Amino acid sequence: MRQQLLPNDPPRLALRVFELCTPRDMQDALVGDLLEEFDCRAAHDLRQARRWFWKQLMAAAIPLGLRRVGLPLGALSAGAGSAIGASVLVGIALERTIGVVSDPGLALVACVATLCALISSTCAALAARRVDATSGKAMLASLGLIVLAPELSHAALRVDTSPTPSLYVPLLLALIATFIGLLIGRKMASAPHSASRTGAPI
Amino acid sequence: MAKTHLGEFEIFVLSALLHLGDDAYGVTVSREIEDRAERTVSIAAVHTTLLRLEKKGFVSSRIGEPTARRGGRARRYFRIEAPGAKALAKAYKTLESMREGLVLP
Repeated sequence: MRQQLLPNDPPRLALRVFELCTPRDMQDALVGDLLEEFDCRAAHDLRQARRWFWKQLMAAAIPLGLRRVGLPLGALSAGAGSAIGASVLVGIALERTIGVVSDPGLALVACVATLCALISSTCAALAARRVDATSGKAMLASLGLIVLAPELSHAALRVDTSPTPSLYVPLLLALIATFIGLLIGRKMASAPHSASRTGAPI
Repeated sequence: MAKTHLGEFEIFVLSALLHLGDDAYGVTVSREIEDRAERTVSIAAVHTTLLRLEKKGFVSSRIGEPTARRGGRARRYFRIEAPGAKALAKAYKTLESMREGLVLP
């Protein structure tokens, strides 16, 4: 049970954010260390100690937050990447079927979109498996590719890939794929490699 | 297979563990690095690195007693293991061989 008997209190907000951001497997040790160091510094200069605490938070919040939520975000990105690739393909297929746009280069558009989806999904999967400082970079790369996928398709062939009868189908597909991605993420979270993340015995 | 090469900060952390012996936990490791490397260190970065090294099997950890000074939270002590010591020795050897023959300012 927590005693919370600190001679000098650290900034409450910063402490709360730290507790929220820090993954469970390192929460006690890390927050305890921060409180111990804060206590030591506060004995000399309370204001400086508070500043130090905020600086620690600013340096750590994003990497820790990414580490904490990395798995579902990775799965989400994987789902979104696949969904966008699939939605572009379905959109193209519908357009060809309905005959709104008929362009021999559509196959290339599909290839570019699929490739982008594949790369983004791979990056996201890597992010989900290796939740550390590199996961943020992988996720950013993944998101960048997701955003770029339709743009690349458009720029490659100057084809408008976002017209319309197919609007609702891709959205539905995106939702389904995202949901599947989340399910995969949950399954991965319960896999043995994440045991230490969930506070298993050391 | 886990990577065996170490980054600069990992070298610092493992070296600090060797210097500190049985008293190595987040606060002491960060102080050791700050004193010896003369650079500011985030305690969270130390913990993240230690956990990564633990997953690689380079260090092991044990939980200490909770104290009021730490808000009732326990310390987590770390110790370098044989694969970690081996990787550290290899890293220093590599640095030495890279430095050999160089005239540095």
